[in-house]
Amino acid sequence: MAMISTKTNSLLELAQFWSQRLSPDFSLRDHEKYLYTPLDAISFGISPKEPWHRALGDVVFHNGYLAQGDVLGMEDAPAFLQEKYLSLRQKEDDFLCRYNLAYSPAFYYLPLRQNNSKITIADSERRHAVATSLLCYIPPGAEHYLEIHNMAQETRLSHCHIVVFLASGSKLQLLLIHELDEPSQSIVHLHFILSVESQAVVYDLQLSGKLSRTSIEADLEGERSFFSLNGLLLGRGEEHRDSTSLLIHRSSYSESKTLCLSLLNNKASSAITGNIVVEPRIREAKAHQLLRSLLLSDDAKAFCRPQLEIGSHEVNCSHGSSIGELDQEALYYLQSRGVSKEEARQLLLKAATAHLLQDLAPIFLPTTQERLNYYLKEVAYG
Amino acid sequence: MLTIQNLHVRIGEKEILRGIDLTVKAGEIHAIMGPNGSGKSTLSQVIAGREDLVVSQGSLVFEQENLLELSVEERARRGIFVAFQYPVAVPGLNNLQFMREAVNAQRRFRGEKELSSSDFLKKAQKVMHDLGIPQEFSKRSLNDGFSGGEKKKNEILQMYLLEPKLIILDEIDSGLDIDALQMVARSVNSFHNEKRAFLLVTHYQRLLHYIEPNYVHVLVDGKIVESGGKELAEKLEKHGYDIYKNQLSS
Repeated sequence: MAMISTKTNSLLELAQFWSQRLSPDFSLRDHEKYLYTPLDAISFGISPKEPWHRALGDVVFHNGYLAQGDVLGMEDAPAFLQEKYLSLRQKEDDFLCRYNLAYSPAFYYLPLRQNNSKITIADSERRHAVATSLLCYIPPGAEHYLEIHNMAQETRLSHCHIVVFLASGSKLQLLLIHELDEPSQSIVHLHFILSVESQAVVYDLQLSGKLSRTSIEADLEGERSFFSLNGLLLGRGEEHRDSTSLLIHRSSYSESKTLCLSLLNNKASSAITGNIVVEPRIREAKAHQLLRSLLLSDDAKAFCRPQLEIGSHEVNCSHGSSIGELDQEALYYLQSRGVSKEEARQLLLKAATAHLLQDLAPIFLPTTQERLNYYLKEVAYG
Repeated sequence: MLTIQNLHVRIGEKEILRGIDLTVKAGEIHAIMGPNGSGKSTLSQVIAGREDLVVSQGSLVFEQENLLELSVEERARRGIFVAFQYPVAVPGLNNLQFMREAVNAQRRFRGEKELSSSDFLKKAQKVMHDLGIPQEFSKRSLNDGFSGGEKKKNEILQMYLLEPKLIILDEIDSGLDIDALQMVARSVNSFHNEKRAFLLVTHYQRLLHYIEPNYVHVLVDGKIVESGGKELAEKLEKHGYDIYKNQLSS
């Protein structure tokens, strides 16, 4: 398979790469087995024969540090980041992301100097596909709140690749929201590299759109680093949600927590794959993973696959998975007080999300509360 | 207020209630007593509208409306309240937030203006104060981590806030110590008036020491086998339910 360089930026090269991907030898099915996701919808939604005008999404950096349309190439990033990023790219085995990255000719480099940032990825020109790459660096000891809002409309595919380096002692809380119109699809790939005593807490809210997928890879490279993933996937109609995480404990005393919940109505489906790897000779790592799905209709489908690969003896790891329906006794109890079945469902769905979102930073509440209420209602009513 | 005629109810293939007749008027307190498995809770739940109970025969009328045509929530909005024997816990759903949703759902049905958060909070805090219920109830999740006694108190709190007309207390006395039982009984007595009716479902006479019923009915094997005044409860306390079981088997 041809490797795509980060310097690849000519339309011709990209089109050539694209054609290779459409060759009959290219098997998507292997990938599908891994993700349980109907990838045909993602990968063949865009034809290379259709005209595409620009390949870069609009990024609005709300703090005003970067104006819309500003693009800084990798050459403006610190050298060690370039080196690090390129080496990471070589190791990626998720060829879907690599394949979609082919769209992205440049990076936004975000030196996060304030303690909170909000980025909206949109597509004002309503093109067939947009791709955006972001590189974030959290300096030593800094504490940062980053909100990323992927809200493509009438776009067949919006793909975003974000790499976050957390320097020693830094802390990040990241809120990612997929909020798309019905025909749009969104793929976000997040890659975290955590240094000593750094902490990253991620909230992944997949709220709407034909298909959304968050793929997370976290390298817990520094001792006592901490990573937490809290995923909430809401689906109705024939929507599909996907969460794939690979958390690699590469250092002693590192800790990770994964909690993913999908709530599905109608014919919606979700695929949650959680993979935790503890490398050999790592001491006292802690990793806990719980993947849950609640189905509100007979036609909804959920796939959960929790995985642990433990290479060391001195670890404390657990994983679990459940797929079920709403508690009918609870539903009846709430209805017996006068609330309608749909309202009762909505209350139970909201209750199910409470544990997941209990530590969400107050700075994110204005963005999330009304949205969640709206989309939980949509899912409850179907 | 409530008229039940020849009510037959089954769960799956098993018939639980086998021809119940009962009339409850506004202002009355009726006690339904019976041994385990006699159908007491089924009677409570079929009035509430539980969907897995199948009414195969008979009628259930509340204030001239056929209850069998109404859903669970529609019955509640018309003023029927069942205090559950085992109230359900819902972690993550704030107790008071739920009660406000329920109160406002009923107010909407009656065409009344919904209560704002602050108005509802004031009302709930006053009721909790009057009932001697700790204010921390308002911060906890619905019945989550509650002791048996706390759950029953929470049912009483809901009853006060929802202000129903027909109140069915399904073994409200089970799991209560004597102080909690007295508190619940005091609350029920002060809530009772000429416009409200109560149906007390219980195994034991002890609840009836604190809440005086107008009528006592003995339910055995899905049928009301005897009705009378409060003296019937005393008779049951002395002789138990065996006399009825023997009658039915012979």
